[in-house]
Amino acid sequence: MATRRKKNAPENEGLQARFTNEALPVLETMYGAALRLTRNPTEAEDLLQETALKAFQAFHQFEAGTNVKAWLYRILTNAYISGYRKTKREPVRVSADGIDDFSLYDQIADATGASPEQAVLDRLPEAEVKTALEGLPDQFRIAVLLADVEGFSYKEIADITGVSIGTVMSRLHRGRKALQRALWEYARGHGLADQKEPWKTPRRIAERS
Amino acid sequence: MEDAETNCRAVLAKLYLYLDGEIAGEGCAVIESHLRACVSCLRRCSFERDFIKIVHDRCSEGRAPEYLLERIRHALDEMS
Repeated sequence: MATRRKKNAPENEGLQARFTNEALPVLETMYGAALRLTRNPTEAEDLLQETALKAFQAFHQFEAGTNVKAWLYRILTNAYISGYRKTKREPVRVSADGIDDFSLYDQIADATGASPEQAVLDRLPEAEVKTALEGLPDQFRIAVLLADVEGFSYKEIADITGVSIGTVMSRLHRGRKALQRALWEYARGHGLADQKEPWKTPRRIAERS
Repeated sequence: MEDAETNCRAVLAKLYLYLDGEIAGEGCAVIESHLRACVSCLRRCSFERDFIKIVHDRCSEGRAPEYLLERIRHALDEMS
């Protein structure tokens, strides 16, 4: 007999109801992650749908009361890696070579002669930050996405991506630094760190007082 | 006692761990005590925290579009 359960089996109905209550609301919030991974709205839609169907098929294996969000992100990440990664034209890559010591803070401090403040970061346009994140090599992009955008702990990221916590820390560190370097290139290219016009607002406030 | 520079280096080496909430208890207290005493490290710490927040805020998308959710619900119905 087919292993598929009958549509109206009470057990199956319970499982479906649980999927609708527990998994679907999380899946609805995962479109952004799909977009950052595939860098393409059409593929993000397909990836999210594939994730939903795979999760539904595997939901009987999901242990109630455990972390459904991490479980769904693992399915999403694996589906992306196995199905979408290689076929796509690559974006302009942000290299992570020699990235460990890069510090956006130091770059801005050197260029402006002042301590960088939040105003500096506030000037980075949304599209540039997204582009910079999407330009990171997969391993770094996934680490930064899961930690900084989705708010997972190191342990959860280790479980989702199937690597050690030490590897998560290293990828996250290098990913953040590579992101800072990419955004520094943008900032410098757009005169945002021009010495004559430091990205600081207090001067005007000081003149007024 | 360790000199100030050693303390700074030790704190900065753990900055991401600290900001990511991966250090608890005494380790956390040691870092916070240093940050209260060292403006230079405090500024760097605030900057890195702000940077992470910018990445979070700029790269978040909210819910999937309704037509996609509808498509997914339909596909799930087909499967069950």
